[in-house]
Amino acid sequence: MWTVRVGLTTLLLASCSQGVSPAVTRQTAETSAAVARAEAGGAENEPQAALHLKLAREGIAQAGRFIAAGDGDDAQRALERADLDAELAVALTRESRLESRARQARAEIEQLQRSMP
Amino acid sequence: MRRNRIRWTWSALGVALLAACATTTALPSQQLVDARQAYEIAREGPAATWAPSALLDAKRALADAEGAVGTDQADHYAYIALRLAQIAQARGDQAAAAVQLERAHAARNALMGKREQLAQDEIARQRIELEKRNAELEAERQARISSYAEADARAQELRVEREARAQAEKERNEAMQTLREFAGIQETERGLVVTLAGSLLFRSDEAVLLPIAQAKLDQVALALRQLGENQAFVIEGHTDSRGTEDFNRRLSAARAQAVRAYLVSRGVPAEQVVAIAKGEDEPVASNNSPEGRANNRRVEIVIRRPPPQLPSG
Repeated sequence: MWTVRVGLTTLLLASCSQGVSPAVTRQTAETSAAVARAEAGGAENEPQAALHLKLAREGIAQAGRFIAAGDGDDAQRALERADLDAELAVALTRESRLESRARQARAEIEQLQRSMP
Repeated sequence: MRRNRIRWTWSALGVALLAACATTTALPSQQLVDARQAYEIAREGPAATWAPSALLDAKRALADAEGAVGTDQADHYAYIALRLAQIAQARGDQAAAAVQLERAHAARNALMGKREQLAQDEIARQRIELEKRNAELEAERQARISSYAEADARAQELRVEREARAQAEKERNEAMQTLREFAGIQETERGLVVTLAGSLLFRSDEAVLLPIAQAKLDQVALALRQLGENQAFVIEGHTDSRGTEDFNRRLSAARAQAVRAYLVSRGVPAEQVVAIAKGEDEPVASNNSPEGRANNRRVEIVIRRPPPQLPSG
């Protein structure tokens, strides 16, 4: 969360100073929200999800560089990609959690069946 | 909203691209190849059932990416398409896992319910078993108590019987002891024979009991009564050989009858005692001497051997 905040702050400062389009500003908000969801969901702890969360953060950093260079369109696209990486991180985390719980429930069932005549 | 924005971006671009790239055949990037593959995989998986709109987004993005081949943004669109395909698959798998979880929970709850039921059944079965066992133990205990009581009562009965028999035996022996003082007592094959001298009981040639005889016969009556109900007594009158056989027979009959009558009057049951005349037929000594003749003049009381003791009912 800290990393994202720094990235976003940079972005926002940059976008304010560079006069970036409202589209980019909106995309920045959406992407940051997606990354926040991924972090809150615990994507850090799922290997696959963590990879995409990292890609999302790198994408945000990349967008910051584009904004600093005055390249709004590239920044926009970078933020779109980062948004999807964050979404994927969220979906992978949920999937992993559910599969883990389903495995656990099946193990409980086996144990119950063994303990019964 | 995001999807629409992407599509808008593409639409604006698309017109320019079509114009620019009409004659070029460009190769798909590795990323596009990956995106196609990811879409195929997603399409064949649970996403088709559980994440159809995500799958549709992926399909459209793939179409956009195909169209963007050879342009500057080809990689971007391929990336988008790949991610959307992966998202669709993840959502489909997620939903399938949720269904699995739901089923597993239901199965687990059913099993737990069954286990609970089995445990309850087992408890109930054990309780019944326990109650049955308790009832059995109680019944055994009661049976033991009553059998002890029976055994005690039986032992008591036997003790009483034994004491009574011992007492009767003692009284019989005492009576016999008393008789021995004035009567001859002998075990023979006929039974116990109590011999009373004729001179003890009668005057010569007479069948009337002497007064002094009564005291002795009282002892005899007492002894005979103590011998019990199953006892048969035969009173035999005997004489010596002086006088006629006929006279002796009648005398011996009268004397036996006199003794019998007296004993019956003294409590010996009449049905147990008979009087028999033996006359001079069974001497016990030689009739040639006075002592011998005196010995022959006698009354014998034969106490038949008692029948076998039957167990008292």
